[in-house]
Amino acid sequence: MHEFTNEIFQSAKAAGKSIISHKLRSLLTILGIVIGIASVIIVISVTHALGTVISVQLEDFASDMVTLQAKTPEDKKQLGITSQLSYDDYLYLESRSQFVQDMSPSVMLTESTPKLIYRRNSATSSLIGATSLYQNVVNVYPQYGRFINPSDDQQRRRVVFIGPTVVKNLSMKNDPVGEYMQINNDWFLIIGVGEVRGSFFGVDQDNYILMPVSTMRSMFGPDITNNISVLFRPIPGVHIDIVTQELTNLLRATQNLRAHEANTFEFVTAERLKSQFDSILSVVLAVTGGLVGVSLVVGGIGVMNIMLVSVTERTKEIGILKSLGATSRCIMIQFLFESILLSLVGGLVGLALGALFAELFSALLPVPLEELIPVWAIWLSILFTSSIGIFFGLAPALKASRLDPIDALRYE
Amino acid sequence: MKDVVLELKGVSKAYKFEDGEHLALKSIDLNIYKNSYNAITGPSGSGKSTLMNILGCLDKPTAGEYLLNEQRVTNMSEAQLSMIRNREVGFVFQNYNLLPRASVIDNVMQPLMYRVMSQRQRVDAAMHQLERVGLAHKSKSIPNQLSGGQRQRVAVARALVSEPSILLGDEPTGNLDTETTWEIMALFDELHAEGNTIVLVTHETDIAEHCQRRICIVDGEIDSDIDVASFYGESVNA
Ligand SMILES: Nc1ncnc2c1ncn2[C@@H]1O[C@H](COP(=O)(O)OP(=O)(O)O)[C@@H](O)[C@H]1O
Ligand SMILES: [Mg+2]
Repeated sequence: MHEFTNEIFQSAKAAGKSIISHKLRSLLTILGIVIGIASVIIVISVTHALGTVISVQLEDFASDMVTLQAKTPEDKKQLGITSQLSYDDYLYLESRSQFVQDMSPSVMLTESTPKLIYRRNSATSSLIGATSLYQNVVNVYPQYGRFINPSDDQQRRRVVFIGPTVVKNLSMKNDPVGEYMQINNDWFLIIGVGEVRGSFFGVDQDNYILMPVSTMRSMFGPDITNNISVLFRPIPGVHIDIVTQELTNLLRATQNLRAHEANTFEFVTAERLKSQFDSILSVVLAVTGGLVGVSLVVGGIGVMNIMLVSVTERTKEIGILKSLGATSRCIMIQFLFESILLSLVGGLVGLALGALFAELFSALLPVPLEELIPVWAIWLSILFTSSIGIFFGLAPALKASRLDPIDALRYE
Repeated sequence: MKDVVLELKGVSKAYKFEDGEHLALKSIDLNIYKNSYNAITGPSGSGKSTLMNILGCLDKPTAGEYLLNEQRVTNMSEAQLSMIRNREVGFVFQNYNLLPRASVIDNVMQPLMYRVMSQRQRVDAAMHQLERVGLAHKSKSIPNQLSGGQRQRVAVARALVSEPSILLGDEPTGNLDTETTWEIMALFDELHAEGNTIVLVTHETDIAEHCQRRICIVDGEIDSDIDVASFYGESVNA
């Protein structure tokens, strides 16, 4: 046993020396593996990062919020009919639903961009009509002032709750509550400023103006609420499917849909968004995983090729070692170690390059990552490269170990 | 009684070709004794190297028996043969056969790498042999920084480091000029005087004259076998 340990140790040492004394050749040998592993790490770290970002952001932005919006079924689309979800539908659901905790319409101005003026500054932003419950559904809390309240809505008050980006773009002072601003030439009282929410995939979440939906209707006419979105969250503990089922039944009834007709609306949940992202990511991962796997096999064949050349080149050396008492097993282990070591070094260099890329990439992300590269990916690449080393090193190692000492010594 | 180190009984070696075979050695019987100094001579192609490779356990005979220190070498496994090559035989080649990228000391230490011992012991043993051949100061050089004579000294040191039962040299001075040849032969003479058993292949009579016993091979057979001592009454292959 002690002899065997010595054999292993000496073989590993010889393998290391051989790699070091052929630096350029070693470098070329591992290039394929370096590129392969670097791409593995890049793909894994990017998908991992995107996955993390998506779940973090979806959680931040109302994880249990559901958006109800119009959706035209295919058959109706062909007839040129567009489905709508009206303000009346909202009022009906509001009054009838048992399982909804908070519900608010969300009316977006889509035809035109509102023109905002404050003193001599102008800017643009999205304009949303909502009720006081919008705050609870979407999780927008005032940084200064207050949110829209029910009496604002009942009285159609000309008040706005604005996002921090609007404050910045219009060069207002930090706390502009109590001041007036102009929207499309009408004056509005600023009643509150929302907290900073950051951006979601490059889209600023703080550039908005909220006003009571009744005010919006009086300003732009009731047609503005012909097609709206409805935001809500279920009563805690009630499963989302129960709520959507209830609302589906109510809506189908009030829209007089017949049994064979498809729904004219859809529910969008954070869960659904995430699973859509996840399925896209996993397809990306699978496709690139396949490509990268192929590139690693090519890299392995590269190692095998150069190892075979190196065995031929070193035939004489192998003959000398055998004449001095090296066993076939010794020679075999040495060459096997050499290919494992080469692959492993290739893997580690690839890992380093991949990590460097991941580091650069993570700087572009809106949220900090707990780990750049998942630990399993590191172990996987180490395991994978050593397997490549063993698998593709076997043929050259066998070839070397089977050399006849006399033939090998005579080789020039 | 003289102790027998090597014993060949009816050893033959046939090289096979597509159309028949060539018998390079034809049923050789030969004993080599402990502490003896032997020369194997003969014309080129007579089978000297073939014989030496068999003696050095690098090659196997196609017929006959070979015993080294009373161990039957024929029928040994690959691993056992490696062990014999490592411990019992020191082989010096005409073209030195040093490891080109390894330093002098690493070359000399190489046989000890296959043994369980401390690196310190290996270095000490190798340095001792390098001192023995007068090249301790070149231990860090690599072979192509040395002259032919120096390279062959390194090869001798490497052959000696494993303290083998027998030292074999296949035309060890074949690549050297006259002056260096005499230096190397003086070294072999000293090694013999120190008690080593030596077998040298040569086709030069001057070199054979260093040895007590001169075995001449012609066409794969022992043509003559003269022990200088036998002129004074002792016969070798009686
Ligand atoms: N590997 C081999 N294959 C075929 N024939 C060989 C081989 N080695 C040696 N021979 C032949 O065997 C004979 C003896 O060769 P060798 O032992 O090298 O002679 P020497 O060393 O006396 O010059 C020669 O005829 C040579 O051609
Ligand atoms: Mg010869």
